[in-house]
Amino acid sequence: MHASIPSSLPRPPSASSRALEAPLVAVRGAKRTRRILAVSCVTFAAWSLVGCPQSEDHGAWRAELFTERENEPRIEPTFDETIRTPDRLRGIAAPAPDGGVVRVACFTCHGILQVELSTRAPTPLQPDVLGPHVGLLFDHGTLDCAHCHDPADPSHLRTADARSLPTTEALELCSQCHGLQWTDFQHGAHGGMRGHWDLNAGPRERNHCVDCHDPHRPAFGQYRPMPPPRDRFVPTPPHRANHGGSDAHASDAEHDADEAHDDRPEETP
Amino acid sequence: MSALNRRRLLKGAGATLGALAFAKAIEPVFEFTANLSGDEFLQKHYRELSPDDLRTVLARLEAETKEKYGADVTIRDIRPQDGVQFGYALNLSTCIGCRRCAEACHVENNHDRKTHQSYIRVFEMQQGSFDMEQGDATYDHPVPQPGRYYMPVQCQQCDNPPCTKVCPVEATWKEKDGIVVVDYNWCIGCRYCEAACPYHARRFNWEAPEISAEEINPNQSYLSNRIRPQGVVEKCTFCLHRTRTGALPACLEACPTGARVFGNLLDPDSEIRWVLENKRVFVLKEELGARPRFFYFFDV
Repeated sequence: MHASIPSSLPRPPSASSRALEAPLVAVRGAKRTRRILAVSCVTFAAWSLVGCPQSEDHGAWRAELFTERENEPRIEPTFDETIRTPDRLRGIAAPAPDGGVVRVACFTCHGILQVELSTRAPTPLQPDVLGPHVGLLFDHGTLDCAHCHDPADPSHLRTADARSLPTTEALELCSQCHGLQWTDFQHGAHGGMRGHWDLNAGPRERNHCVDCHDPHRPAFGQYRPMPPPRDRFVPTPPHRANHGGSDAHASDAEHDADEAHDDRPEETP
Repeated sequence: MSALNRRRLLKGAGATLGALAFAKAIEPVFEFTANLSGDEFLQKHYRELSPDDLRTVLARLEAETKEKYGADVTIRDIRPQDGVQFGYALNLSTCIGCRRCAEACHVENNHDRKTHQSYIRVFEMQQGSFDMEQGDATYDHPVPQPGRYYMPVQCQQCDNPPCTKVCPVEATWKEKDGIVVVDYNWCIGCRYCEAACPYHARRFNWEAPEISAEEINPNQSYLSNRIRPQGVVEKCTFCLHRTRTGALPACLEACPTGARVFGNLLDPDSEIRWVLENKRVFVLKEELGARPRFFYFFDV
């Protein structure tokens, strides 16, 4: 018993009519897509021409690098750059009667002793050389004592052109042979320093050659490095494992204090 | 009829367990809020702070350091100088790998003592190779070893920094003098920047730094070496609390071989300019286009 369908009701769209409508929608959609694409292309072109307003120009300051500053008045820096005068240049460390170490000026002995400087490189100095120089290790190329020390006055140095220099002016003597290092040093690219990069804000102290290089044995040896980071994923090496973080640091701090007057790191035996 | 039947008992037990599990699950939230003062939570971004706000913030941070670490510190806000663009150069011919720079950084920047953290990683490299993958940053033997060279790597203060671009909250940015900084109070600890840095220069504070009161460096600044909170990213700032007042960075002063050169790139008479103009200079991973301000050079 089927109820008859009233003919006034709309019929469901047939499969064929749906098939006809779909391309129309697609065409309309494609037009819109094209319009959106065109608009965004124009916007992007304009944006790239004008430049993104939010992004900074990271290299702008580089233009200032090579601007001529000849017309600007040269301001003399307020503070000075000084070069240290290490104690080593003021005498020799000798054993003191109380068991400590005392620094003795060259003239103390050499004022009364007539010493004939060896013309060969002594390695090490033999006990027949008296006084605190015994055991001095010497390894400085093919030089011998008289190349740097003034034979006429052992408390002075002697340059290659036979000028006598006070030991405190050793920089000039060293630079005779080590010209490249001297050039670097003059431009702040060799040797350590402390203080200020801006000499208008504060002074700067530069290391002397002999702060780091033993003039008798100038090459750097091997040194014990500071402890590595204890990263979570890196196992602690066995010989560092026995002391904790703060202990390790404390011993390093003491170590630094010991070397307050010597910039050379501790040499490994 | 009976007050306690099987169903009620099970319901009650289930509800109790559920409540306990929920309490346990939200516990970190309470820990978090306990460590976070209301002022800190409401603090604005560093660059939006008015001078008065900033003074209040600095005073609060000093008080917090006193409370948590027992140390009297001065936290300053030091702004970039005009006409200064910082640059750093390192001489690979003279570096002996002694890690003095890393140690000085550790002390200067109030790093966590337990992990012995530092912004500088010194790589022991095979001579003739630039393969960073083969570099060893945890060597622990006398240096320098024959056949090896040493390459300290720290933040390169890129002119085109990839790290600042990935920050979802703009907690890190490049300052006028070229130093890339982090607002530790704005950082959400997502570590995107750490992943974006091609030099592995950023560090994450997994835990609040452990450091005793007498070891704390009291000369601090908001954007550099103040003690970082847990869960934020930190990085080398060229010691801006020192360098913006004209002083040399701590790593340079510690270097026993003078391998480090620091200065103002805009000053034609500066040491850094002489090195850049007269030495064989290169930057790490130049092909990435990050344009570092940290240069490496050789003597010969």
